[in-house]
This record gives sequence, structure tokens and C-alpha cells, in this order.
Amino acid sequence: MIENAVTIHNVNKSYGSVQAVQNLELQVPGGSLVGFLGPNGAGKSTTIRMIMSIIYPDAGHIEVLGATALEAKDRIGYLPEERGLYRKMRINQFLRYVGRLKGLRKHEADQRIEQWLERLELPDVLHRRCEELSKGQQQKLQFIAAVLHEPELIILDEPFSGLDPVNASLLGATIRELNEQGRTIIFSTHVLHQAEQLCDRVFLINKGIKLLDDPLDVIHERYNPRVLSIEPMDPRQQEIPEFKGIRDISRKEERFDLHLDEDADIQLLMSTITSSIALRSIELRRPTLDDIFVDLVGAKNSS
Amino acid sequence: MNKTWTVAWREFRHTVLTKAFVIGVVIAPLCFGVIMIFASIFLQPEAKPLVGTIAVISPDDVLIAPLRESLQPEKPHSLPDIKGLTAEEATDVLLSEASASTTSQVAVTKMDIDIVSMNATQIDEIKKGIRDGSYTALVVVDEQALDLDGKANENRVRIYVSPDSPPSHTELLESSSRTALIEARLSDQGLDPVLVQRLTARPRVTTVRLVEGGDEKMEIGDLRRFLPMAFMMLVWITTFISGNYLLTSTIEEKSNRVMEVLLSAVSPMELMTGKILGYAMVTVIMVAMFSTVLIAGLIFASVLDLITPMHLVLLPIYLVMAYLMIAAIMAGIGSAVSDLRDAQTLLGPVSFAVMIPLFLMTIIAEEPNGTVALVTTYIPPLTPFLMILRILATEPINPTEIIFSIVWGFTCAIVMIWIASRIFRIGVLMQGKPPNPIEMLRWIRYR
Repeated sequence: MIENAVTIHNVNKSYGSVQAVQNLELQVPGGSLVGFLGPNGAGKSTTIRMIMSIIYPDAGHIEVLGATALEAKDRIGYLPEERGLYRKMRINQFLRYVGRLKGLRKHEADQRIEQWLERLELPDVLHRRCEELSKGQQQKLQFIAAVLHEPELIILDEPFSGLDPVNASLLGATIRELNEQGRTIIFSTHVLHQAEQLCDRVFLINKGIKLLDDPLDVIHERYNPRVLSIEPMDPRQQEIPEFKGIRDISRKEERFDLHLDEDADIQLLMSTITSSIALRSIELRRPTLDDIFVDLVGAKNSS
Repeated sequence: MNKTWTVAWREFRHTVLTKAFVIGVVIAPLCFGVIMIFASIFLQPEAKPLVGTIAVISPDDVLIAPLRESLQPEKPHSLPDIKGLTAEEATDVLLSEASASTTSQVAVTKMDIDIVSMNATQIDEIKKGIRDGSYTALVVVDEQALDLDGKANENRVRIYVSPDSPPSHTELLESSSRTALIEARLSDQGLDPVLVQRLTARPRVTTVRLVEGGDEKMEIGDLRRFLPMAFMMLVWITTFISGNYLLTSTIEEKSNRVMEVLLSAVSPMELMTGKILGYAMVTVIMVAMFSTVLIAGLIFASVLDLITPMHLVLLPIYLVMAYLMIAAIMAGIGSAVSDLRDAQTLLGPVSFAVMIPLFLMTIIAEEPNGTVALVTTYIPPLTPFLMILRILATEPINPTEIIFSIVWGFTCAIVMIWIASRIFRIGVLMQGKPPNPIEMLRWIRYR
């Protein structure tokens, strides 16, 4: 397997006076499932379009699957944010056309179309027109168009938008399956818990600048807030006694957040607290991607 | 190249194999032709009969007798005698007869008319009678109608008719009064109107053109004038229909947001080339269809020799040139806008420019080496259209000029396609407000 599916080196892109991407450095390891996060207008779509060689950087270099972006076009699958279909075209014709453009032979494309329609639970739609499908069905159809040619790298821009929970779960499972087959997957999303569930690596940009680029476990470790959240058995309890290793206590309704010192021994503290106070629950809080996103993007915007 | 062909084939297939194309380009013109033929054979319109009393006020009643003579039901129109003539002569006779015919489209064949002489003092009473239906018309002839001192074509006769009088009746009354007045003038001068009519009957004149190789050919002037225009129109219409398909398909792909899916598989240049190739095939289908009809007409009229082998070589060359120029314009505009309404705004000035050949075709067909022809030929995108007019006209064009026009035309076409491709690669990803010319210039120069 290739070491890095995508290497972006010192890439800049601007639209007039707006700097969409600034000195961007990024490596997407081969076979990884990367979440590409960022607020609206962060430069995600611009970066993705440059990876797809739909647009070109003003400066810098992009290598995709060991080649130039243009050379690797047929080895990439792409689901753009703005979904597009030929409304009057029949589904088999549309998928065959996209497959042919990606280098598939006609019979090869036809075989895969049937397999994929079955896999994504779109039975009996082969000869229907694209406009006859529901929004969710169209979304799945576009996903098929992106993966039909079995690409090594799959880029999905907001793949879950417009899908109900059942279909979102089906698509999530399919994405995971494709990743397990060794395909590198980059997907951008605003729904951070989906990224958290699926990704093994996260890449966050804001205003064209990279803020975060690490495996998810490293991020969790790095942004560990070291907070013990406790809920006393007695909801009327107003105060918590002081313990060694706790630097601050804050109250949220019936719960208390105990902010720990850097050198605090968590195991020891938990056992001390549970023996001192009658508790309904105690947990070591884990930072969510939402927390990290808000922290990083908020800090960047205010600076 | 494979991807370009895939795009081209889709565009071709999804245009030609649609009801809109079959109905609009094949069936509609066919039906139109059939209806025209059917109407001309079976649906001869018949006018309302002209009945009642026509009052005539004329000095010394000079118009009464000739008007009575003139207002006879028209005899059914008969074709000229072409027995014993060659096909070329017969065509000539029929064409000149058709162009000379000035008869009304709707002939009044039934009449029951009473013509009465009246005094000038009764004019108001007669007008009242026309309104209440007791008179059909009033013809008032000027006192000096027979004088030769004044201008012969001054207004000498005034006709009053009822509000509901059909145009066929007024046309008949006007032409009959005109004829009657001429006859009255002839009689007044002691001339026999029948003899004068025979003496002034249009004789048939035949022109023989001495063609290259020592042969002689019967001249068919109208066809010679018509042929270059017909071929130019053929190329103009087909390239414009295809160009329009290209424009709408590009706009459709932009508005359907399918463009980004396509651009993830092909480069903008491959996409544009594919589209241009696809609609080139559509153009070939249309040209083949329409030119078959045109050539069948030439064979039917036995004038196929108006098309020489050199024309058959040059016409496709200019067709390709014309198509490339129009396709470049349409691809550029289609990629720059997001909907058809915006496209119409940008197409306005372009449409006016490419309609210039239509305004100039009569002048250039008549004078293919004139100054107008020489100057306008080298303005793209007029070159191919005007060269088609010129090579098919009677006056030969200098071969050097033909070669130069081809080199110049294709150079311009390539530059236009290059400009279109620069606009296309940026424009296809743009949504919203259409660009102004300065922005488009920036797109062209953009690295």
C-alpha cells in the first residue's frame, strides 16, 4: 500500500483578494479514513477540488496516489458537496456514463451497477429516470457513481447530508467496509460525531489554515481536559470538599466538574472521592470532537 | 481521447435520440412541407361572390363600358404551355410565369354585378346607400382622368366600399378600375385596346450562358440567385441549432450541478472538446438531411450541374469552419452563465453579429467580388457563411482568395476555441451572476 495517498505541500489558493488556502501542508496516509473538518468557508471544498485537479493551486504542490492530481484522476472517486444528476437520464445510463468516464468497460460497468444498487438497497430503479428518485435515493446513486470504478482514494464531501438515520447508518457501514478493503477515504462533514465514529484521523482547517492533523486517539489524548465529572447521590448537595490534585470545581445543575492538576493521580483521586462522597455517578470526561472544534476554531477566530 | 469520445457520444445520443429532436428537426419540417403542398393543391381559397350595384361617377360615363368588361369573373388560372420544351426551358418558363403573376391570392370567381352611372351630386346619397347595403361600391373617376397633360399615375379613381367588404373585393375593384381607365384612355386616343394588349404582352426571353469547356447552358437566373443563399442558410441554420444544443446542455449541466461530477473524471478541455464533437455529429445528421432535400430539388429541376465537384470539396470545409466558430461562441457563453435568461443577454450582440450574412446575402450573391464581400469575408465568424455565398455565385472567386479564406478562417476558429476553453475551465465552476466582459477577459488571461 502506498505510504501517503495524498501529499499537499505548501499549497496556496486565492480567489481575488480572498485567501482560500494558505501554506497548507497535509499528508493523508494510505488506507486511512480521514475526517476533513472545518467551518463553512474554511477552504475544505477548495482543497478537495485541488486534490481532484478540478482547480489548481496558485503555488505549492499536490501529489495524489504517487502521481500528479491529473494523472491519478481515474483512481479517485469523488462525491461533491453539490450533488448533480442528469434529471432526465435513466439510472443505468447515468451510472454507465460516469463509469465509462472513469475508464470502465460497458459490461464491467453494468455488472457493478447492479451489484451496487443491490448493496445500497435500491432495487428496481435501474431503468427509472434520475428525477423519479427521492432525495435520499439520489444521494445513494451519487455515492455509487463515486465508487463504481473501485477507486483507491475516495473523497466524500458531506456524504450523510440528506440521509435518514437508517440510510446514514447503511452508508457509514459501506464507507467503513471500503476502508477495510484498503481504500483511503477522506470525507468532509459538519456532523462531527459522525467523523468521530468513522475516522481514524482528523484534519481541521479554518480560514485556509490547518489547525489540526492527527490520529483521533492522539487528539483525544492531547486535548484531554482532565476533568472528573461527578453526580452526588443527594441532589441538594451544594459543595464538594477539597481534595489534593483538584485545582478548580464548577457546577452544572446536579453535577460537579472537578478540574484536575496536571500531575494529579486520577486513579487515586477517583477512589478517594468515591470513598468520601455518596455518588450516583463518576466519570473521567473524554473530549469530543465538538469540544475540540469549538475550542480551536473559536480561539482562532477570536485571535 | 477515449473520454472525449464518451462525452461526444453521450451528447450526440441524448440529442438525436430524443422526441424533441425527431419532432423539431425531422418531423416538423417534413409536416410543414407536406401541409404546404397539400394546401396549395387542395385548399384553394374561394372569395365571397361580388354581388349588388356598383355606382360609377365618371366624366361622360367613359368608365362604364370598360369597367363592365373588366368586372367579369376571372377565368381559372392555367399553366403555360410547356409542351415540346426541354426540361431547362420548361423550368425557365414556369419560373418566369410565376414571378410575372400579379393576380390576387384569392380570386373572385362569382359575380352578379349591376353597374349604374350616377351624378356627382348624388355622392352623399350613394355613400349612405353603401352603408345600408343598397349599393356595393362607388367608383368616382377624376374629371381629368383622360387628360395626358398631368401625370398618368396620379390618383384618378377613388373607390368607396362598405365596412364589411372583404379585401378580395377591394383588390378586384381597384385592379378592374385601373384596367378600365387604361382602356378608356386608349379608346380616347383612337387606339384599339385589344391590339395594344397583344402588342405589349410579355415575350419569353431565354438567356444562354456560355460555360467552361465550350458548352452552352440555359440560364436560370432565379435559381442561380437562390442557390448560394439556400446553401448558406442551410449551414447557418444547422450550425445554429447545434450551437444552441451545446449552449443549453452546458447550462443544464451547470444548473443540475453535475458539472463537478464530470470534472472529477475529465478535464474541462476534454469535456468541451467532447461536447463540440458530439454536436458536430448532430450537425452532420442535420446537414445530411436538409442537403438531401436541397439536392433532390436541384435534380428535379435538372440543374444539379450548378454544383461542381469543387463546391462539394469546399462546402464541407466551410461547414466545419462555421460550426467550430459558432460552437466556440456557444461553449464560452454556456459555461459562463447559470441559466438561459443570462445566456440570452450575452447572446444578444453575438446573434446580431452572426445575422450579418443574412442581411448581406442578396448583395453578395449578386456581386461576390464586390467591396462589401471582400471586406466582410474576413470578419470572423462571418467568413465561412460569406464564402459559401461567394463560391456558389456566378462570378468565379480567385483560388488564392479561397485558400487564404480557409487558412484565415481556421486560424480564427482555433483562436476562438482557445478563448472559449479559457472561459470554459473557469466558467463551468461558477454559479450566480454572469460575468461582465472585463471579468471574462480576466478569465482568459488567468493562469
